[in-house]
Amino acid sequence: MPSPEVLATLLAVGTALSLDSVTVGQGMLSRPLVGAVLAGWVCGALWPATVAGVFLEAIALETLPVGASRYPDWAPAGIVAGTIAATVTPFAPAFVLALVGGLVTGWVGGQSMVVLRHANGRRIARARESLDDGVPGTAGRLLALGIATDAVRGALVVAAGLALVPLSALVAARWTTDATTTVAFGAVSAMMVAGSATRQMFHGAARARVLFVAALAVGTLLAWGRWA
Amino acid sequence: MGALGVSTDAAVTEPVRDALPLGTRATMLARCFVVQGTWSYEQMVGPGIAYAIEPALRLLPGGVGGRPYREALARHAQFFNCHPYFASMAVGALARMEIDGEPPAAITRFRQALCGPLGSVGDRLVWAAWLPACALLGLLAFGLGAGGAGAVAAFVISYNLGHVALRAWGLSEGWRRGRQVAAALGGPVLRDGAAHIGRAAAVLAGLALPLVVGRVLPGDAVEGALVLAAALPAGYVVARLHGRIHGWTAALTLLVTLLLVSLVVL
Repeated sequence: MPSPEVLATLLAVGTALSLDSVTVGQGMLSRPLVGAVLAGWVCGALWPATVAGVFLEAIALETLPVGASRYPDWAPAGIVAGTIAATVTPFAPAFVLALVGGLVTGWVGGQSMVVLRHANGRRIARARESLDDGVPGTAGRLLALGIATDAVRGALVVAAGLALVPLSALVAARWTTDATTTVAFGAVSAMMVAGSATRQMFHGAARARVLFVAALAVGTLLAWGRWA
Repeated sequence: MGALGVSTDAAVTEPVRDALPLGTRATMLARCFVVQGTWSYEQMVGPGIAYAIEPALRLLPGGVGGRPYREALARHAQFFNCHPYFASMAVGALARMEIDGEPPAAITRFRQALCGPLGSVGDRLVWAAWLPACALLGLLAFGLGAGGAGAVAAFVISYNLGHVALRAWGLSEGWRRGRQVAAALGGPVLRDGAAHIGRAAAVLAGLALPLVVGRVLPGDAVEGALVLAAALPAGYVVARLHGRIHGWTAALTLLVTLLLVSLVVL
């Protein structure tokens, strides 16, 4: 289990990355790869956290953060997945548990975004008269409140997700499936979603399917060379 | 007559019509990065647009608190929906129309008409093409041997080069073209860019997926090949079920099943 200092750092980083999801910037610092790598760096175990982040990113490829659509909040997901992968042993169950913990946290984060958006709507409705009168500073105050509320939301989701870390350690200690099968199963689950996302990218891009198959052959040969 | 050939308010100085003061432009651009700060289902980015456009409205006759300022601010605090990166283009164009003194009704109609195109172009170009392409570049970097920092750098730097450039260009183009901004949306990059980036993403995906698997399952060619052989058809099935099931929920279901089997059955 990470120390209180490490947990506080993870909470701060997770909160900052959560803001990037929608309210501030949207520079994709909120993607799971970024969050997991930062969590691994904070916890002092970069490699397992990076692996978890890469596979969670493969899953996140499918998600398009389009306007009113509902999607997982990947920033807390990345932080939680990276923390589980970096702090729980052995690696194989930790890898799968990191993906599970990340996805569950992401789902909770997505639900909390819906709550936040409704809260923003109510706040704007209360300020309607002021907005309609063009009172200077009203829009700025609404944005500041919205961003502050989002920060609180992000912090709560990250904190809730980090509570899964000790639970993951307990589960990993009782894990019975062998390491190779466990990692392979986790990889299949993530690559399945990445494959699905790739297929959706083909829409409107002529010859993309052919290019994908050709590149897949080259990539497989390169990987095969590594295996051989 | 203003630069766009429409009648203008004589109280707004000519230099302002040609070029926004640098400080005003920089503040507007910075504010565009928080345009979704109070996103809601009812108003979407409306209040964010008002906040981003406000520095330009200070240049209207009467300044802050003047009648033109307040009327314009109220106009732009209404419902507005577009891709967040293309909000800067809307902000630039609408600011230009306000400074040029175009009729309020025309500005409101134009504002409503902008929502659709700025949303669909952004979703197609950024969310459906640029984002996955850059994410796949990060995955490919990892697959080729980069560490966590290298993979993150490949993704975040490449992505934000496009992202920040798009926001800055959008504000500039919006201001320059005003109500003619739709012509900028018909440019070759925005019209065909998504298809080109989609093809690049297809190549990146083809290279990255096996290399990532190979990096995590080193020394076992059969296992790596089996992972790919299982994942790609399963991905095809998930893609066919798109709309009925999300990929991430399918993955979570599989992983939780493994978890339960590992804890309970064996």
